[in-house]
Amino acid sequence: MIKIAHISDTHITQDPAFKSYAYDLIVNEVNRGNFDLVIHTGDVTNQGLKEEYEHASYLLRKIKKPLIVLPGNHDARNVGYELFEKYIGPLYGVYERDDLVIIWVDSTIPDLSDGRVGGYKFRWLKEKLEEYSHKKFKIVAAHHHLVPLPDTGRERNVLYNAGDVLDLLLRHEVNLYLCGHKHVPNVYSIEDLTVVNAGCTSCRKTRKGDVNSYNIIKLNGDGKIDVTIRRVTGDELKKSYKSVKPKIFIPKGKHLLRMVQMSESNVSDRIYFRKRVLENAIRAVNEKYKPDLVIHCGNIVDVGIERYYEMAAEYYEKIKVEKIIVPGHNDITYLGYDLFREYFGEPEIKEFGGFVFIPLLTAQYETPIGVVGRMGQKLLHSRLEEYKEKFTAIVMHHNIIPIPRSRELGFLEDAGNILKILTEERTELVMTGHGGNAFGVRIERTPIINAGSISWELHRNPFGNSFNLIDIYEDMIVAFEIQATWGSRKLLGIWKIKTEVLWKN
Amino acid sequence: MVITMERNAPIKVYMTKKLIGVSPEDTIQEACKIMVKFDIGSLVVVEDDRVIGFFTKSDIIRRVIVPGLPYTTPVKEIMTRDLITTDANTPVREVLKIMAHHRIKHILIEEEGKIVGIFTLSDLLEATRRKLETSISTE
Repeated sequence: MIKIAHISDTHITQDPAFKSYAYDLIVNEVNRGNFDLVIHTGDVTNQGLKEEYEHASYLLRKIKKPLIVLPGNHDARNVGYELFEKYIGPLYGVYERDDLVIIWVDSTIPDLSDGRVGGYKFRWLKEKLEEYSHKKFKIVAAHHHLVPLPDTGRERNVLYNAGDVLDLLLRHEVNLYLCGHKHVPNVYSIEDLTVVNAGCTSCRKTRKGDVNSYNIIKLNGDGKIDVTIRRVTGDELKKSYKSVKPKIFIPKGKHLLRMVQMSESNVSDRIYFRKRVLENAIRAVNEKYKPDLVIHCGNIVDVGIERYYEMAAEYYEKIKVEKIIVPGHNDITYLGYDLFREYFGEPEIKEFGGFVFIPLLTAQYETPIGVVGRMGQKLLHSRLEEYKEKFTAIVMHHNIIPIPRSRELGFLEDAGNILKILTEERTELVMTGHGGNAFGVRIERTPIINAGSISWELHRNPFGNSFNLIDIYEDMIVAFEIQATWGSRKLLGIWKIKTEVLWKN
Repeated sequence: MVITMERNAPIKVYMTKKLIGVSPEDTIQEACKIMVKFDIGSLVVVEDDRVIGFFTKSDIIRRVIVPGLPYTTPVKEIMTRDLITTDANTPVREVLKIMAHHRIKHILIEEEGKIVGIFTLSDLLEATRRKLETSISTE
């Protein structure tokens, strides 16, 4: 067993922003505990200043365990990244011990709060992952968080290329991603990857009246990972994860429902709208895939004008099965807000036997940035409670997990809170349609599937225009991506359903 | 067009990690229905959460259709028992050599003595198409 203390965001400075008593308290606990090593995921200093680094270098020496320290955005302020190397240590590195490897990378951008792991860093990380592929426990650490966090206000500072980094870590079967940045302690499992955010160890800026904290991570010989968020008050929150291998699916359960999920038709007379591709796809949906339900996750028209809505209505009239269409930000531009409702109706909750589909409106007028809002969150929460006994599926436009190849700007302001509500309520399925690339992962118990663009040339999908085919069996959910022109398919994800609920009957 | 791919990446990066399987007693017809439904060219045969056999569409042609076996034959009678496998950390270039050497289009991937994945020519196509790169910026 290897035991790691994960601290972060110490924000060491002479200003009152730094709480030295919290720092000493946590360091004493760490020194007394039987930890094998300590990792600090950045924002060692408050402004990256020389006197702060001098102070930090003295304070970090109080930690009497092997110590890994990463730079955070505050450390990179005022060209502090150069001082970091002088006073603290390397900006990138590898730590190896028995079955464990820790690879840390500098995700900062000088003078900005945002993060990125651009080409050189990304390739370096990839090479290290290849080199240490054989290690049983692979940990990657960077300052910036990978998936939206709850209670962070305006969720804007994720890694610009969080989707690419997530894809890299998942493919390399990395066990843990450790980060800090937002001062919110949190743990999520994404497929077999455990993403651990540390709260802040000694900064005054905690959120929602929270106190300082650090994380305790245990890597057990059987592969189980235990994470404890330990607050200075002594309160503890524990979570455990263990990946199951092999992942074998024996399709024996009854088939219950078939859906086609699409997004970004962007019907228009612009050259980027691929009319033929949409016609082919609609024909294939009607004649080949024959779903029970078609879901369109936003941007049915390119801009909200009557002529485009007329065209879109004509295309989608051809699909005879039940449809759930939610508006994306393109749909409500100009007069689109009213036109959407005129042509496609107000998105409403739809029930099919044991299934319930809940539309979640996120689009804002003439901006790609979406929001659910505090009232919307409460409403979502109560809806999920109300339909607890059913298979609940959420249909929305904005993605709540980062999508590979898209530039992550935090397109949904409160994505962190939405993700928290959906995962805590164990929502059975979430379908989104933003970013122009298909992607599917399970976070905690909730599969989240994003649809690429069905007929818009401006997409980010190496597979081309596509839509998703989702089959729900009584014991599993299977999602395929279907190439919209050729009809070739590939598996996006397959997840077991373990809960014993009424909707199965 | 230049087709490039990451030949040094361990095969686990490009393998399919979620295996679709049948039980040894399942009939060939049931197995074929699953192959069609999931659009896949091979299936693992599973007993007590372990892979004990494997067969492909061409095995069905050679071992069922040509000899004229009934569709109700259980898959255990036609499956391959001596599996060709490679470790999950084997670099892609080595795996391609093994596949070429054995003239196979599907290879099972092993980790700590268990079959944990499969790599097929479709995965190879996907690997050439979906490179692990980022275009966000150089830095």
